Amino acid sequence: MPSLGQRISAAQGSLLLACTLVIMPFFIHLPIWIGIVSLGFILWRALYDFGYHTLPNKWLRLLLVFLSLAGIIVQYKTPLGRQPGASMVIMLMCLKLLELHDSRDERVVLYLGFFIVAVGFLFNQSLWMGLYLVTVTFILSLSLMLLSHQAAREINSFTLIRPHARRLGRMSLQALPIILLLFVFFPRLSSPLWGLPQDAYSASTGLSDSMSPGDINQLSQNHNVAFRAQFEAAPPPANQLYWRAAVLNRYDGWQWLPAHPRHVPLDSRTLVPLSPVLNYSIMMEPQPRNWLFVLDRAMGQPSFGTLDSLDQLRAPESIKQTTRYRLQAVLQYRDTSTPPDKTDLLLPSNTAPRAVTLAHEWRAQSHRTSDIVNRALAYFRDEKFYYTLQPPLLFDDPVDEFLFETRKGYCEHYASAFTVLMRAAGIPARVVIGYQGGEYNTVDNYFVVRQSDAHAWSEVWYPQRGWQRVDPTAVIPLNRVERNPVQLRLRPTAQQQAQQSFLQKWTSSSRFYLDALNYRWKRWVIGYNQKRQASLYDDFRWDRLGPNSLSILMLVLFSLAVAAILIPWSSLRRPPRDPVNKLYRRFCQKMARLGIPCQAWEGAEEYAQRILHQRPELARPVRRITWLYQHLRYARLSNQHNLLELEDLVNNL
Amino acid sequence: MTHVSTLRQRLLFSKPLRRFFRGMSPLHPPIELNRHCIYILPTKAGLGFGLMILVMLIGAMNYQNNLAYLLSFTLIGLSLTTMIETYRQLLHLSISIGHIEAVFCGQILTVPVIIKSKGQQRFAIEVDKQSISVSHDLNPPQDTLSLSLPTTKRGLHQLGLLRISSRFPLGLFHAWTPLPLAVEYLVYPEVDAQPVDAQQHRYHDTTTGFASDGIDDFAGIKSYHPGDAPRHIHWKAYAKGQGLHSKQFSSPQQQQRWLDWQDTQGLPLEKRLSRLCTWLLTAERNGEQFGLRMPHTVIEISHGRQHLHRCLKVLALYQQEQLHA
Repeated sequence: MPSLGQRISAAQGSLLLACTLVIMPFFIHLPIWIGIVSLGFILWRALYDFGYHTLPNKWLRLLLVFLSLAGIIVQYKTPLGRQPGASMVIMLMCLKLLELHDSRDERVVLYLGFFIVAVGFLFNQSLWMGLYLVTVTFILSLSLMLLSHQAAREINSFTLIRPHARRLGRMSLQALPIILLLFVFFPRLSSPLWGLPQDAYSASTGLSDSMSPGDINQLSQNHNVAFRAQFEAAPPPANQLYWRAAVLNRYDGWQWLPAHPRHVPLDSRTLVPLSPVLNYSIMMEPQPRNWLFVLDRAMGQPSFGTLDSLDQLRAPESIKQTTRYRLQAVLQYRDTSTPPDKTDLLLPSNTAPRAVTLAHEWRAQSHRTSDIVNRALAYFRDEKFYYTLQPPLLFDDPVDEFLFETRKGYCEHYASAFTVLMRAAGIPARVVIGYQGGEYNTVDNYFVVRQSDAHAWSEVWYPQRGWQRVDPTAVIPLNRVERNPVQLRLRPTAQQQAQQSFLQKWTSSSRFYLDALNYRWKRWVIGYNQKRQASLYDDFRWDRLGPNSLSILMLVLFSLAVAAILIPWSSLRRPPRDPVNKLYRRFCQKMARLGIPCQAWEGAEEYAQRILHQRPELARPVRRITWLYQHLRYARLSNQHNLLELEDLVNNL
Repeated sequence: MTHVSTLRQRLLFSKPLRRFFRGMSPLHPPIELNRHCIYILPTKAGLGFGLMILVMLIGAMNYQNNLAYLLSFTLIGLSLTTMIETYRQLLHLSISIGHIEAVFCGQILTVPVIIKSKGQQRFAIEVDKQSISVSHDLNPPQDTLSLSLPTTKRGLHQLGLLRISSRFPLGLFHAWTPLPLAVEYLVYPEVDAQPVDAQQHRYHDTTTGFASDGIDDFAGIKSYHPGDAPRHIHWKAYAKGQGLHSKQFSSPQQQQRWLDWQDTQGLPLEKRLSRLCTWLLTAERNGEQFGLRMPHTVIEISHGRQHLHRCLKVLALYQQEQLHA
């Protein structure tokens, strides 16, 4: 059975491998038949290469092209867009494999392969995909190299693969500075050149813009990353991190709908921080809305998006790509500049009559907002309320049924019921949805917040302090909580942390490393855009280096450039070490150890005489070494055999 | 006006440009290739590659996809290093031409191109003359490529312009050096296609008498050459499967023979030369002593390879000016 290398050439082998690897990642994004048909074409070509089958003639090829393109158009109803486009390039590449006039055809296949790699990045930009496609690019380039080398196009040329791969690796390293410079400094555009097709970006999930029972529950199983947040100083504990996304204040008896922001002039805002101001940055994953997440109350101007009167941060359009922005937050504050309006008190008539009655009772006992809030929280704590992700279904009046019958629910139920109670008691209140906490990555010091961390809570208006956060879910005692990341985080116990086994710690730390890697990848590679490029110069703190540092740096670079041109590099290059000389020097060192050092003025012959005089027993090797040295060095006796003999003699001395 | 023209002249006739447009004057090998004589341009495949990168880059811009950007930049960077690598394939090669064995017209001339290289192995080095090319991987320190050229005219020829080039490693760039070599080679006249025996009578008519091989004493066995008499073939050996051999006989005294231009009268010039050429070869093969009488040249009777070459050279160069005119 002849080996692979005896059947096909290195160039053919790498071409087939490259084509297969190129189309692999598309299998999950494209219809199954496209993958199978394109693999079939590659197999056909492989059978041809191995001599089992002929290639199709011109007419059959044309027919195949027509059928493939027709199939794609039938599948997608349009030839335009990301998926039909990708399918077509893949089909064309694989069909081109079946055409074989000269090496130009194979070259076209490889060029299409490079192009498909680029198309693949439109589907997936993760680190792993990046690494995979780097490998594929390498193999494509290697195929190109083998294609350009006549000897690699013949049978039994697999031995050429390794040296050529090494050569290509060296060339890639040489290209690295150019690649990095281009990546950092090549001007980026702030908007696309032309309109993008509808499916230009991958689908993304996120919070919905209204809240009805069950919405957030859907996200609880979704462990996709929503965003990552990094604090400049020490971060606050996770249970204090409430990431606001949207304020819902319109209640129709079943679901909560987003509030309409009013126009409040910026200069009339009076946010008084009562705790230290936190500087942090958020890197958002793509999501279908233009919502940006903010930690509690935002201070000052964020680097991206605009703040409205409800303290919601909004981007100009939906977040299609990983986006990074910086802002300041304060966890405790006083702000009475955005008073409630009548929507914040409105309850539909006939809604939750029993809850309204209960609220009126509390109201009758105390008019102070804080008393009523505490009364409500105590109610949730002391009555048999359970936290569960599988609550019983609610039918007519979700709030009343939850408060007085089922008493099992999760954040939505609690936030909704609490807000209704407050409004019934005459206190302006609203629901806020967003995320709670996050997993702290100790490797790179940031929080990962996942979709499963979605949460809902309430905000209540205090006449003196303005809108303040109240989280009714947080008061449910631990023994009435089903395991849930948000719930566990809200009440972490020392006992729990101690119980983590070594294996758990190890898996969590390796998970942190992986996520940290991903975070940096997203932050520095994927998220690098026109804005970051523009701020590249500003970000570097030149003043740290002292005054005039920039001019000094320029001067140094300039002189280096001039020096590089003026210095006669060729004369600086060290002459290659003569192996004969090297061996002879080793011989001299060995002799010196015997007490006969070679003098500077001494020739080889004299030195040998002197050695023989003192150590006659070394006569044979010393004579031979001296003879070999003289002849190899001065008589142009350049023979590998003689050199080896000299080496042996010197080593065995 | 004069100023402008001198500037133009300076530009056009500056050394490198003149070299570029008019080629170098013929050089005596060995020639070491350096940066003054290596030219490099993208190939068609290279331009196609550039176009592909451009499309990719536009796509990356439009989709604002950083990884697509990165891929485009990687390919740009790789192309640049490829350019340098292609150039380095030729750098510091030292070219010389080995001994070119003279051939008879119509045969294939083998030009041994001896290339000395330093450092790394060089791949897919191409040497070509007009449309004939040979591709080879070169091992340091010295390697030989054989360029096979067809011959169509007898005489002394200039080897003229060779081109040494490489497209390795990615075929995106083509680096080349034109080598106008001051090397000459000799092509003898065409060997007469007709067998010698048909012309025996003319042989015998010559004054000194041209007997064929000696017939008296058996002198040994040599391998068969076309033109050997069938009766001299060593049939026994052939029957044993040892191949064709001819028995050789020698006469007591060495035959001496004059081959005369006059004896070929009646044939066109080239035919006459061919005929003489064939006679010379036959005489040499039979181990005879022979001389050549040409209209203005006489080569005295002698024998041996050197002598044969001298005679053939006279034939090759006979009225060569007319030949080229």
